[in-house]
Amino acid sequence: MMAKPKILVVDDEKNTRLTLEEALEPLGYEIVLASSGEEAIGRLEDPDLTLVLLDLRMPGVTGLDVLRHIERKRPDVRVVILTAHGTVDAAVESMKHGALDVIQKPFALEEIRTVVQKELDPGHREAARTRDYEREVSDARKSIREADFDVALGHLRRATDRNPSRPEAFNLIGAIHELRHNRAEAQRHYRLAVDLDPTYGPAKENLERSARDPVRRGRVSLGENLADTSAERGEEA
Amino acid sequence: MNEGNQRSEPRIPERAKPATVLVADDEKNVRLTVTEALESEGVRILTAVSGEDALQRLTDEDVDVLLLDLAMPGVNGIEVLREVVRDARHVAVVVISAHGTVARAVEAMKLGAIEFLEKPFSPEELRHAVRRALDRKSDTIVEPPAEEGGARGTPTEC
Repeated sequence: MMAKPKILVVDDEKNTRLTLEEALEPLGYEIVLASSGEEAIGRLEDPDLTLVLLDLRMPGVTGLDVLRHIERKRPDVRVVILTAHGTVDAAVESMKHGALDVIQKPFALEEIRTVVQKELDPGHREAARTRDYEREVSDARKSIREADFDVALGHLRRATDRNPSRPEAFNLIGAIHELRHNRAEAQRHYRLAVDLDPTYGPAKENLERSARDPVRRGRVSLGENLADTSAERGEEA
Repeated sequence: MNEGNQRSEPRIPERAKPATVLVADDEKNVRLTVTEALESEGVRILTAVSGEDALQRLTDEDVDVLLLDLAMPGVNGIEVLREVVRDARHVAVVVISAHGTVARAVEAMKLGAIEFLEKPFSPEELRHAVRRALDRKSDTIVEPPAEEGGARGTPTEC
């Protein structure tokens, strides 16, 4: 039998923490509480956490700080933001940093239950994972174009964590190796991408080109806009 | 492209043609302000006066960035956004909204908008958002530096 999904509730208001705990525990979730951003970051060491309900406005380490930490260190963890005095800016910023939803206080407990159940539903998580993957890959492309290869590799590592079976990220890792003159590693990654998806053109092109004429200047393909491939792959999830 | 000009960093090729920005807003003033704000950016600017108009322009033209008002009569911005996502079009959507609420902003972001600007916004904010949107659209090609005589001198590691 699978372990109960573990949810971290982060809010500096005790009442909110307890209310959420009481609302969610009966649904079969294990609830962990944190009363500050600092405490939340400590709790995030727990590999079993699957979801975080996160207050934005806390003294010290804010919710947005915690969200950024999760984005970097725990991309596998889903985040739903809770906010009392939410501005549009804060909500948009949260979504850009990977929050799945923003719930405004005061909230109805039913609303929280619905959102949590939806986010922990495997089908829905898959869709969210795909979205995160695509964002990481898109950010990586941008970093590569700006020659920020280390930043790009960070994005790509997170992308492959989220979905190790898609070719785009491996192709880009190969591209970085090639741009750094490490042809063997480049080709290894292009090959990985092609093995994962023999129809993925950019990796095939890169592999063929880098094998054919390694010394001359060539053009590294960073791949098509992901909107295309995700549309084709709709059924795969 | 730029052959013979050896450089140590990968280069982004110039776009073959200017990027196209579509401004969809039912208010003429907004369309004008946005057009003026983007004049210096070297982009081609198209306008649409309604959601229907926007969808038609998206079908007819190769649009890179859509600046989308949410509150338009008829087909509203959210519906346009849904259509754009459903058709997996290669367009980055920046919402421009006068009556932004948290719920609307979150809905738009969930649907795939990459930015949500509240009106009134400054020309600089708008330009920044458009540049970011263009960055997010993937150019497909980067040229690697020459392996021989590259100024970087990065050793090949294996």
